[in-house]
Amino acid sequence: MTDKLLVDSETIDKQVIVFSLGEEEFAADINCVKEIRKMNDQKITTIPKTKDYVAGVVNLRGNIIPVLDLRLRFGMEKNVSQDNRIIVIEAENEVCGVIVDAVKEVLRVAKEEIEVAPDMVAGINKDFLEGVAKVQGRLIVLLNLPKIALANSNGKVAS
Amino acid sequence: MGLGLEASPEEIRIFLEEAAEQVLTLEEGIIALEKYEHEIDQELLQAIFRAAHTLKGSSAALGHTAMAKLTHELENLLDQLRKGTRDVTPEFIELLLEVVDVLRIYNDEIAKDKASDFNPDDLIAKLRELGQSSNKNREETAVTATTSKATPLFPPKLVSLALEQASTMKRKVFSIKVNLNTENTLPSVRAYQLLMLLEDKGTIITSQPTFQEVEKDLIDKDIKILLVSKKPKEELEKDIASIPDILRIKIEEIKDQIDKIEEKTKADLSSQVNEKINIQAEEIKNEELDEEKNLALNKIEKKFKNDSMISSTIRVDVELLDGLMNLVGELVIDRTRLVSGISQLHESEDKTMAIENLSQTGSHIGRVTEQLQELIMKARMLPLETLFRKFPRMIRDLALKAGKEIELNMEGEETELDRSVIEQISDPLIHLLRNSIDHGIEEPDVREKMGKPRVGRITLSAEPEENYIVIRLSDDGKGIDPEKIAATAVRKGLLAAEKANTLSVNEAVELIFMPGFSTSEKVTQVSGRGVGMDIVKKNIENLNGNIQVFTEIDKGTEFRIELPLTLAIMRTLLVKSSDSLYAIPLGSVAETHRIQKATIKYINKRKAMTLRGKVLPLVHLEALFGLPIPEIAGDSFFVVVVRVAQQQVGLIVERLIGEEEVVIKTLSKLLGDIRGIFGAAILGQGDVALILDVPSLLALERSSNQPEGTVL
Repeated sequence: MTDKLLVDSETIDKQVIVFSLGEEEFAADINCVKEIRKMNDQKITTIPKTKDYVAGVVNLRGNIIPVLDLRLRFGMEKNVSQDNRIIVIEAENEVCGVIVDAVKEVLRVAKEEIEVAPDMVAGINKDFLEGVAKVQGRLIVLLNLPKIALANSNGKVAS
Repeated sequence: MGLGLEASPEEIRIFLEEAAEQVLTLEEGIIALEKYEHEIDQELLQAIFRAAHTLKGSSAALGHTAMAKLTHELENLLDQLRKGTRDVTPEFIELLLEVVDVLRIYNDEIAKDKASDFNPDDLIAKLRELGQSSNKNREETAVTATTSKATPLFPPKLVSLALEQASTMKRKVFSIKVNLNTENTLPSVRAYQLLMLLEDKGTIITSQPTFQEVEKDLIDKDIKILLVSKKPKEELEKDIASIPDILRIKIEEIKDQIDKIEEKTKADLSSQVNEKINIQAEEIKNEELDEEKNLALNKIEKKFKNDSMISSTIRVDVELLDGLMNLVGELVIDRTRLVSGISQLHESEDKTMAIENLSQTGSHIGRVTEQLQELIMKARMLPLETLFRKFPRMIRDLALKAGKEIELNMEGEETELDRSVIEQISDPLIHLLRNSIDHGIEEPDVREKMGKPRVGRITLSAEPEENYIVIRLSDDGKGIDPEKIAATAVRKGLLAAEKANTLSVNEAVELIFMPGFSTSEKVTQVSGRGVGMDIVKKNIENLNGNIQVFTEIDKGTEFRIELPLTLAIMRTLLVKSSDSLYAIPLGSVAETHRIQKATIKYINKRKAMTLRGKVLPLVHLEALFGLPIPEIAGDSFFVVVVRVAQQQVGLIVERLIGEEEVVIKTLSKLLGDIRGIFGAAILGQGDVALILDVPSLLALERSSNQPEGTVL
């Protein structure tokens, strides 16, 4: 009986958080996003000897979480503004922050509106892309943020 | 390839925890058995037998047939021992220990749900062979397959096996055929009942269907059982009849015809066994060849290192859990008081009252969190026994292979340590024990000539001392010769020859901890080695502990390891440099100085200073991390002298802030590979300080510079 109540995940609309990097719009599945914080509120402690796109760590309510700069990750120039946000995501039980230029809105995207991503979008590895959504004439690139975060993992499981 | 076990993860977890415990009981019991020469402690035997029996039952229930089979054979052998029809021989012990090892392999299989490539057939054959042969005070009564013509129900081989067993245990063999009413809704339950009943009455050699088949509902209306039991036929018949839904019962006793030819077989067999023993003895002799022996010893050492003894779950005293619950309750109340206090602050005219309330709440929260911290640390404690209990077997195996006689004494196993410390101290301890056996304890003959008892003695003890747990590992072997150590260090280019003469005895002995000292060329060729005392020291220092060595030639050696009670809290020296906060573990800090700029010397373009007549290399903390080096403002600057093993380096920092106890937070793996940093800590104001990993930091220093400047 309960089976009928469950909705097939293939057909349901997807809720995404839309954010910008430069001129382009990106989005991430809302299910992996835990919260969004203003970057100005957070003191980022840099960690020496890490990749340039690793911004450092922040103290999030007593937990120390890593923060990655998505602009630097995608080979763009660094950009600091009042609008900068840290999207806090969860990737395989690890919490991680991702710096973006600005967070715009939460959108509901129908499955039909999502197309398979071309091999390269704005120089981003295909593995990180989940598709391109065409919504009201806008082109929004759907990113798999957990995958991007995990790609930097050193393989050790932090306790 | 998965095992396809039909059990929930929770069931498997429970099985694994229990099985690990049973295997340990078995192992401890077997080792203890070895020590008895005449009378065997019946209680001990019972305990071992019970462990084997439980394992058999639970592995069968889980559906791991190979494990069930193996434990069945084990149980049979132990049963013979229990009944006094078997002597404890070295081969017997060796075989039992082999079974224990295989059981561990199976546990591992189940834990990983991945079949190993181990083939148990040889071992099971060996167990069976032993089960049949060399029983004391008894006529050898092997029966050939031809004698069992009356029993077409079962393979003749099995029948003869059953007969042998039966005769050694004064029991009879029954062939039982039961006709079940399959019209009934629950034939498998009846079949199960029947098998359970008969298992109670004796030993089921084989049955058709088997227990596993019954559990899977794969049954026929005919059930055939080959049973060894001492009960009379009539009693069995009556008992079986008491089970409902049984249509027909046919029980036959199978009698053997003792064949005179068997006498000859027996003679053959014993000569074979003798031959085997001879070959083994010769093998042992051959192993005197150093390389091979080393390999074997390495294998044993590795086996114990890989064998993780600590389960990922923890048992917590309910009382402790209640304590935690109470404290959390208090925190919830405090939260309410905070909220009301804040609104009072906003609303009331007279703020003093509100402030008074708030500060009271604040100090209460402080007390509660302190207690919380203390309790949660307590919950993480484990007795050292969890680690120590694997050592007797290891020492036994290593000593046997090395041709030495060693007695291991352990004290203070009940001492508790944080589980992460226990996990990380395992490998260093194994390494030290191995060293004691290899280099410490002499050969029995040598010891006798020196007037020492033949049996060498290794003592492992643990006890709390102030804020530390001290583990002492001592042996009564030949000790460490400081002159030899110094000579070796010079030969390996680790020490200048002229310096060797100026070393004190202690300094010379401490050379064993130098990187590159104990990794001799010969050993590094052997796979899995190349780990030396420097790694032992480094591992212990990583735990914020420290190790010292005391030795006297021909008297023995003692290693004294100090470990912090807990890993999660660390005393550090807080410093600031280039606007970043760093916490340096106090264990690594030798001293701090405020130095005048003018006293900096340059050696090979590197900064250095003289400290009490010795040259101390100086390096900016930023330089180690590849960050831009700040200008030193003013005339003076701060130097934190850190030490690792024999090396001392002065870290130049901008400002010393002071000592601080910090709670260590590990850094996320998402940060990628991090060097020189141990973790992070949150300070009072919410700032994050990075905790320096001094040993790896100095390794960074070595790699970033030319080999110049190794300082002793």
